[in-house]
Amino acid sequence: MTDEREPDDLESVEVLEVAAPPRDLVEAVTAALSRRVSVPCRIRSVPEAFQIPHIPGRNQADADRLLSAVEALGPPVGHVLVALTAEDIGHPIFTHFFGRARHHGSAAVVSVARLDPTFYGLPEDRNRTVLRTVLEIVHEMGHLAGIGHCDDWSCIMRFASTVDAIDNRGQRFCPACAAALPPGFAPSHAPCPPDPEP
Amino acid sequence: MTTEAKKPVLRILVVDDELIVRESLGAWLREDGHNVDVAESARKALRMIAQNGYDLALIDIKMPTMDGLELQTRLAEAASDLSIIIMTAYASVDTAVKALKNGAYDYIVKPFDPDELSHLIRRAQEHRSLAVENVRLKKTLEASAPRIRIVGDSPAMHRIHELIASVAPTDATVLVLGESGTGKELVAAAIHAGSPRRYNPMVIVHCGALAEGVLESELFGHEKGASTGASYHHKGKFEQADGGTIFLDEIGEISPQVQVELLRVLDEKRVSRVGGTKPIDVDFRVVAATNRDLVAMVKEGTFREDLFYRINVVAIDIPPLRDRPEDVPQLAEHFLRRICVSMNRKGMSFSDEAMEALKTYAWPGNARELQNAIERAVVTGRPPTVEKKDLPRYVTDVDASVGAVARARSLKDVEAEHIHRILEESEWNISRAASILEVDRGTLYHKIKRYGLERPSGHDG
Ligand SMILES: [Zn+2]
Ligand SMILES: [Zn+2]
Repeated sequence: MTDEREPDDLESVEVLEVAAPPRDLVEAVTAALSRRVSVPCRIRSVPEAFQIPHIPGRNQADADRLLSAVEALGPPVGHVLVALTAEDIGHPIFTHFFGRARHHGSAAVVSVARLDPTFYGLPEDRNRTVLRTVLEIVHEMGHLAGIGHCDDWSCIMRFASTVDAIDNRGQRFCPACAAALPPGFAPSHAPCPPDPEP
Repeated sequence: MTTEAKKPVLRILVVDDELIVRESLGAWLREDGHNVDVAESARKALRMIAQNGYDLALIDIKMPTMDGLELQTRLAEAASDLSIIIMTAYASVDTAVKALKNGAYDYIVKPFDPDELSHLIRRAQEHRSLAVENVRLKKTLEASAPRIRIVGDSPAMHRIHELIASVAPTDATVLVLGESGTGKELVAAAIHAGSPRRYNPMVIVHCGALAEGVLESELFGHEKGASTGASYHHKGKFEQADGGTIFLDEIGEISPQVQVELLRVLDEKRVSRVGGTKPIDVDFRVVAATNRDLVAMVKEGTFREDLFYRINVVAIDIPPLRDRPEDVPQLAEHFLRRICVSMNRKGMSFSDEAMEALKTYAWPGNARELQNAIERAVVTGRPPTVEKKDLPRYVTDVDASVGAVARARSLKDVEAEHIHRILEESEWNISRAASILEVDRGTLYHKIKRYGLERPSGHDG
C-alpha cells in the first residue's frame, strides 16, 4: 500500500447522520444514491460523543472543521463517508457551502439546508430536495476521486454557486471526468435508472 | 476575433493579514483554475506586484501598518492596469465605497457569498479579455496599417478604396457584397481601422456557423437563471462590441426569427439578454457581409425587406478577381511577400511564365484561391524563383487562349471547370476535393451531378 494519490476503487458509501434531516429524507437520498453508484450504500449513525463544531456568532456549522471531524472517524480505504446534515454549513470567510470535500479525501460533508426550496420561501418539494442532495453528494464524491471543477455545462463537476446552478448543470459526469473515476462509480454511459424527478 | 472559448486564467494576488483568508480564499480561487499568490502585508504586495505582474488583486481594507486604501493609491500609480477588488467587513462598507471612487474595480463584503465572489471573478475575466483584445487590436492596427490597405490597382478597386475612405469615419452601416474569397472581412477590418472606433474591439460573428438557439444567445447574451439554464450571465456579441464595430458575416444565413430580433437591436441600439428583463444600451457600428443575393432573398420572402434596407445603407460590392485580372500581379506579389515572411524565406519572385499563368487563370475562388496557390508554390518550389511548374496543375493547365475564354464564360462554366480540376487534382477523392473547395461532401455530390462531371475511365485504381 502506498500513499500515492491513485484513485482507490470505491467499495461502499456510508451516509452518516449528523444532526440529520428527517429519517425518510435520509432514506430516500441513500436509495437514490445507490442507483448512481455500483457499490452498496448504507446509513450510519454518528458516535454519541461526536460534537458538531460551530462558527462563533453565526448559526452555522463550520464546514471545514466538521469535515475534519468526520475524516477523523477514519473510514477504511475505498469506503466513503458522507456526513449529511440539516444544519446550514458555512466557513469563517464564506457565507455558506452546499457541500465540502478535499481532493482525494475519505469523507464529505453535505448540508440539506439550502438545497430545500423552503429555504428560499418556496413550497416544499421533497423530490427536488432529494435529487439536489444526491447530485451534490455525487459532485463531492467526484472531488474525493481527485476530480476538480469542470467547464462543461453538461457535467456534474461544474461548479455551482446557487441551487439554480445545481438544477441546471448536468446530472452525470462528462466523458473526460468519467474517465478519471475509479471503479465503483456507475459509468456515465451505462443506462441509469430514472431519478425521482418532480 | 473575439472568441467565446475558455475564459482566461487570471493571475491573482490575495493581500490579507489574516491567514485563514489567504489560505481559504487562495484555495477557492485555485479550484476555479486561477494562478494565485498571497501576501500578508501591503509592503510585501507592492514588492510582488512589481516583480510578477498580476491581473487582479484582492486587497483587505483593514491591515496594520499600511491599509488597503493606501495600497490601492500606490498601485494606481505603479500598476494602472491591475484590477483591484477591495475586501471589507460590513462595518467598513463606507470606506470601500471610497475605494471605488478611487478607482477600485469592485468590493466584496466578508464573509464572501460564493455566488457573489464567482460573479466578481467572471466579470474581472471578461474585463481582462476585453482589455487584452483592445491592446492586441491597437497593436495590430498601429503596426500594420498597410495590411488593412486592400491590394488592387484596378479602377474597380480604386472605387472601393475611395468608398472605404469616405465611409469609414462615419457611423454608417455598411453592407459588403462579394463572392467567397474576395476579402469581405478585410474590407470590414479596413472600415473599422479607419474609424474613430478603432481602439475598441471589432467583434466578428459568422452567422452561418451558428445554430439557431446558440446564435441568439451569442448575439444578445443571456442572463443567469432557470429560464436560460445558465448559472452566470453571458455578454452577447453586441455588448462585447460596445464602442466598436460588429461584423456580421454571412448575414444571409440567419433565420427569420433572429432577423426580427436583429432588426429591433439595430433600431433601438439596445439589447436584451435571453432570459433578461432590462435592456442594455450599447454603442456599436454594423458592417454586414454576404455572398448571397439578398434582393432575390427578399423577393422569395426568406430575408426581411425592412432588415435589408436597414443594413443596405452603404453597399460595397467587391468584384470577383476574374473581372479585374489587372489586379492579379499586384495581389500575387503581395501574397508572395507575406507568405515568404511568415515562412521565413528570403525574397522570392515569380518567373515570367509563372506570372503569365497566374494572370491567365480565372480564379473562381478569388483572392483566397490565389493565396492558397501561391502558398503551395512557395512550399514546393525552390528559392529564389517561383516557377510555373511550382503552381498547382489546374492553374497551369489552362493555356492562354482557354484562359481568356474562361474569363468571358458564365460563372456556372467556371465553377464546373474548377470543380472538375480539383477533382482531378485530388484523384476524385470526394472528401479531399470537398475540403479543398470548402464545401461539404453533399454539396459537392450535388454539383458533380448537376454539371454532369464524370471520372474519366481508365483513371481509377
Ligand atoms: Zn465542487
Ligand atoms: Zn466534466
